[in-house]
Amino acid sequence: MNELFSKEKWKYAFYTVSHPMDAYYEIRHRGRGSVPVAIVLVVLFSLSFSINRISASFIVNDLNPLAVNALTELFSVLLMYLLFCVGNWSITCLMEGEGRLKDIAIAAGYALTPMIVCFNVGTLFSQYVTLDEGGFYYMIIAFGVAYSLVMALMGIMQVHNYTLGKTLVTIFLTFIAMLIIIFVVLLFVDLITQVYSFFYSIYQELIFRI
Amino acid sequence: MAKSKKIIIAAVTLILAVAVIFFARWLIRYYFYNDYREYISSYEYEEGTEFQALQDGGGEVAGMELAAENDILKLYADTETAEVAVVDKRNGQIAYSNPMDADDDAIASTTNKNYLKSQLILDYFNTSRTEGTFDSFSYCTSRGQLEAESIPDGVRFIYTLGDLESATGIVPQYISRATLDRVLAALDEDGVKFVEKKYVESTVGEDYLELLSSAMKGASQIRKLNKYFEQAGFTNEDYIAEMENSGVEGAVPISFVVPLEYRLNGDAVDVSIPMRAVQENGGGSIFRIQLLRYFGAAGTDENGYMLVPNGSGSVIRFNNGKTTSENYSEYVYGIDKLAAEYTVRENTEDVKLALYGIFREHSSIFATIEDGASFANISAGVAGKIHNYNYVYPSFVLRGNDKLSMFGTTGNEADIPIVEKEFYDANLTVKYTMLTEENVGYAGAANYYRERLVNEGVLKAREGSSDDIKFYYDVLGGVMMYKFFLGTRYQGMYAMTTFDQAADISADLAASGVSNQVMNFQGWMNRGYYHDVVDKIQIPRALGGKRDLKKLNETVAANGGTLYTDVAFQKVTEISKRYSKENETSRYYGGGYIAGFGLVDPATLRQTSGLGWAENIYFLISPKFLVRYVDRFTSKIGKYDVDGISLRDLGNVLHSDKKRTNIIDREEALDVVTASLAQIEAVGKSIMVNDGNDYAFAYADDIINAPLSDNDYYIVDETVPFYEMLIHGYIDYSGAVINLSDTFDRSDIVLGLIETGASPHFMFTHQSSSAIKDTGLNRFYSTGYDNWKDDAVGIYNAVNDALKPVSSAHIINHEILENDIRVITYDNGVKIYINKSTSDRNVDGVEVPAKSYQLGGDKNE
Repeated sequence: MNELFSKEKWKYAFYTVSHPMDAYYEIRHRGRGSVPVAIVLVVLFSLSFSINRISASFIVNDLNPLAVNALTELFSVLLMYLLFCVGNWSITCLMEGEGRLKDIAIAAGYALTPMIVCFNVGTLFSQYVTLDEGGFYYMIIAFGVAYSLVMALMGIMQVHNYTLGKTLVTIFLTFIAMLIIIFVVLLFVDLITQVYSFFYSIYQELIFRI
Repeated sequence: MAKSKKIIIAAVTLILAVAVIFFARWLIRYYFYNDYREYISSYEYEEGTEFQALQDGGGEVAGMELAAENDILKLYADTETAEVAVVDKRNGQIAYSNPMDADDDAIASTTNKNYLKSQLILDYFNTSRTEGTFDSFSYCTSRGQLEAESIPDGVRFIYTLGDLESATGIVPQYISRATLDRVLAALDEDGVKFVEKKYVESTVGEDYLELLSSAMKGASQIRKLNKYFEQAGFTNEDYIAEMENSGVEGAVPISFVVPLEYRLNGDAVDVSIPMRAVQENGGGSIFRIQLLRYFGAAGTDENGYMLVPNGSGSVIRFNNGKTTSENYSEYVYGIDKLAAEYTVRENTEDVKLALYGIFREHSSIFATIEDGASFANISAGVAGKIHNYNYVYPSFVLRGNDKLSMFGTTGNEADIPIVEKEFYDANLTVKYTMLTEENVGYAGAANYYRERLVNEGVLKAREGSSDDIKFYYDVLGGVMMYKFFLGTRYQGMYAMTTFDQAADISADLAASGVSNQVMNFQGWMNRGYYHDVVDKIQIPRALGGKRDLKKLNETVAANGGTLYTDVAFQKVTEISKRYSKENETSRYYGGGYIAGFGLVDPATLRQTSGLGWAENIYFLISPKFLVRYVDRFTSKIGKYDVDGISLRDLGNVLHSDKKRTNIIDREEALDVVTASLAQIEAVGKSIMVNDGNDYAFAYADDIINAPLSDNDYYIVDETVPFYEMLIHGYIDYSGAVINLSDTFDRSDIVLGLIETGASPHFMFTHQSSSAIKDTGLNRFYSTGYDNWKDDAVGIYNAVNDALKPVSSAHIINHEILENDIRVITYDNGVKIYINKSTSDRNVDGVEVPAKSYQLGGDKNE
C-alpha cells in the first residue's frame, strides 16, 4: 500500500503532465504508475468540479448552488470513469492494444490533473472578475479541458502502442461500447422488473378474483 | 469435518437465527398488534314482532295505520308502500317520508316518480362488477316483497329488493339428476314423458341436466311444465335451492334484504338501517344506500329553505330557480382520502358537522346523523330540475371499490374493477327532530342542538372569566432545511424562532395590551415542524431545550395566556426516521399501494407532490398503529411543562385502512380517533384542535382554523355561521391565519370575525420569512413578527371592541335582513348589526355605517 502511494508515484503524476509521451511509455513498460493515485485524482477532479459548480462566482455560473450535491456528482464521475476504462479495455483487447486495464485506468486518471488545477484556479479567479473579463475565466477552464483531452489521447496511444488514427478510432468505438454497456444494463433491469411484475400480477389476480 | 464446512454451517445458522428474530419482531410489532380493536363500538339488533297497529287515537293520516305514539309524536305507517308519516301533536304538522302527490308531478320521468315513492335507493355491483340501482318502490313495494314488524316505539320494514320473478316460474333451468328423478316419481305417465323430453345433459356439473332453450322460449310449454312441477310438490324454495346448487353464475337473481327501522324518541324519529341484518343474494354487492331521499321534501308551493353543512353552514332556499346548477353533494368530514382521486380540482372546505335540515315557516325537520356519519354524503337539490320537490338527504357509502391495474407481459394493460368483500357494519342512524315555532329557522335549530349537546356533556361550560377575546397566534419554531457539509447535502434543523424569542413575542404582545393570548408553538420537538413520529419526544437544543420551553410556558401564562405545543399524529412526514411507512401506513385496497400524499401541484393538480421538498410528502398512518403512538405520547408528554397540546390533524383527518386482509373502515377509524382524543384529554392538559370536526367538540378547549365561511357553490344562496352558533361561549375559536390569507382588506377581515364571533389568528416568526424561502415551508412567506405586530394588534383591538361584551355569551339568533345587514343576537341581550355594503344603512332605528358594525340591544346582567 505504501508503495502504491509513495512520494515517487505522486511526483510521477506531475511528471506525466510535463512529459506525457515519455511518462505514459514508462507507465506501460516500467510500472511507474499507480492505480490508487489515479483513483484519488479522479476523486479530486470530482471535488474540484463540484466546488467549481458551487462556488464559482455568479458572473460565470448560473447554477443554483443549493441544487448541487457533491456526493451524487462523485458517484456519477466514478461511474463514468469505470465505464470508460472497461469500455476502452474491451475495445482495445480486440484491436491489438497492448495496454492492460490497469494502464488504461492510470492513463485516464492521470490525464485529469490539468483539469483539477485549472478548475480550482478558475474558481478562485472567478471571484475577482467582472462580466467583461469573464473571457479569461473561460480561457482557464478551456485550457484545462484541452490539456486533459490531449493527455488522455496521448495516454491511450502510448499504452496501446497505437498510431494517432487508430487511437481516434478506438476512442470513438469506446464511446459506442459504453453506450452498449449502459443499454445492456438497462435492458437487464427492465427484464427483471417485467418478470417480477408478471408474477405479482398473477398473485394479484388470484387474490382479487377468487 | 473440515474447518471451512464448520464455518459455513455456523454462518448459515447465524443468518437463519437473525432472520427468524427479525420475522418474529415484525409479527409482534405489526401483524399481531391489534390493540385498536378494544376501541371499536358495537350495537344490538332488536328482535321484532308481527306488525300490529295501535288501535286508539289514529286517523289523522288517510290510508295509514298508527304504528307508535309518544307524548309528542305519532308515527303512521303504510304496510303496503312502506311510507310513513310523523304527526307532531304540538302543532298538528305532518311530515311524510314520500311526497303524497308524486304521481301528479308534471316534470318527473317514470324513474324519478319511482324514486319519489321510494324510501331506499340501493346502488350495487353485480357479479361482473357492473353498477346497478334498485329503488325500493319498483323493486320491492310495488312487487309486494315488503314485510313489516313492530318494534318497541316504532316499526321495522324489511325490504326484499330485487327482481325475483324468474322467466320459467318454478321450473329450474338446471336440475340435478336426483331431483329430477324425485319430481318424475310423483308424476303420471304423460307428465314423465313430457318433462323428461325437455331436459338434456348439461355441462355445468356431473349428473346435471339443463332445460332446452326451445322450451324456455315457448310460453305454453313453460306453463305446462310449471303445472307438472307443482303437481310434484315442487315449490319456489326448491327452485331457488336447486338454482343455487347448480353453481351457475347469475342463475339466482340478485336481491337484497334490508331492514329499515323507525323509532319514536322524544321529539325525534330515529331512522336506522342495522347493516348487520342486511343480506345479499345472487352475488350482488351493495356499495351505497340513499336513505329517505324525500323525507319532508318541499313542493313548489312552499316557503322555506334547507340547511346544508357546507363549511360553516349554507342555506339553499326552496325553489330558488337554480335548476341548471349542480346539486349540492359533499362527504361528511371530507372524502376519505383513500377513496378520493389524486387529482384535486377544487379547493374546498370540508363538511365539519353531520347534520342538515329542512326549515318551513312554522315547523322544521332537523336531521343529525348519529351513527355512520363518516360513511355519509349529504346531497341537496331544488325543485324544477328533475321533479317539483326540494330535498336534502344522506347517502351512505358501504363498500369501497377500486380499479386494479394489471400489467401483462408486454404492455397489455387492463383495469379490473374490484369491490371489497364485506360491506361495512354499522347501525346507520339518522335522527329527524321535529321542531316547532319555538325553534324556528336555522337559528332555532342551532339553539336546540346546542342545548342537546350541553345536556349530553359534549359542550362544557368554559373556565376562566376574562372578558377580552383571545388572540391566537402560531409560532413557527424549528424548520427542516438543507445544509451542506463539504458540498454534500443533508437536512438539518433551522431555528426560525427559539423558545426565548417566542417568550419575547409574548411579552411584547402583552405590553401592547393583548392580555388574553393563545400561543400555538409549531415545530418544538423531534426536528421541527415536520416532526418525527411521537413515540419519543426530543426538544432540540437549537431552540433552547427543555428548560427554555418551561420558561416559555411560564412567561405565556404570566402574560395571561396558554401555551399549546403542536403535534401531528395522523400525517407522518416522509422524513420521519422511526416510522416504517411500508408497515404502518394505510393501504389501498387494490395493488397494495400505501397512502402517501403531499401538497397539490399547481401544474398537474395532483395532491402527491412535495413541491421539491421531501418533507412535504406525508403518509396517513393506519388507525391500527395510531393507537400505539398516542399511547406512547400520552405517557411522555406529562413530563414536559406545557399547558396545552395542539392537535394538528387528529380532529380533522379521518381515513380508513383498506389493507385487504385487515380492513378498518372509517367508522372504526372514528372510534379509534375519538378514543385517542379521550386518551389525550386524560393527560390533563388543555386541548386545541385544528379545524375540528364535530366529534372533537367534546375534547376541545380551543379550535383554530375553524370554517368561518362556506364554499361558494352555485346552488347555495346564503352563508350562515351555523358551526359558530353551536359552540360560541363553550369553545373558543379562530379562523385561518390572517397574515397568510390572500386578501388583506382589513374591514372585510374584521367584519368577518365579528359576524362569526371568532378571534383573530396570526402566525409569527422571529426571523424574517425570507430565511425559509429554500425550505418546504416556503408557503409561510409573510410571518415576520416585526412586520406584522402593529397590524395584528390593530385588528385584535378592533375585533375585541365589538366582541368583548359577548365573549362568553351564546349566539341565539343570526338574521340576514333584506338590505344585506346581518344582525347577530346574543343571549345576554346584545345585538350586533353588521353592514358589509358600501353605503350607510338604518335598521330598527340603528344607524350602521358602511363597512362597519354597530352594537345594539341591552346587555341584561
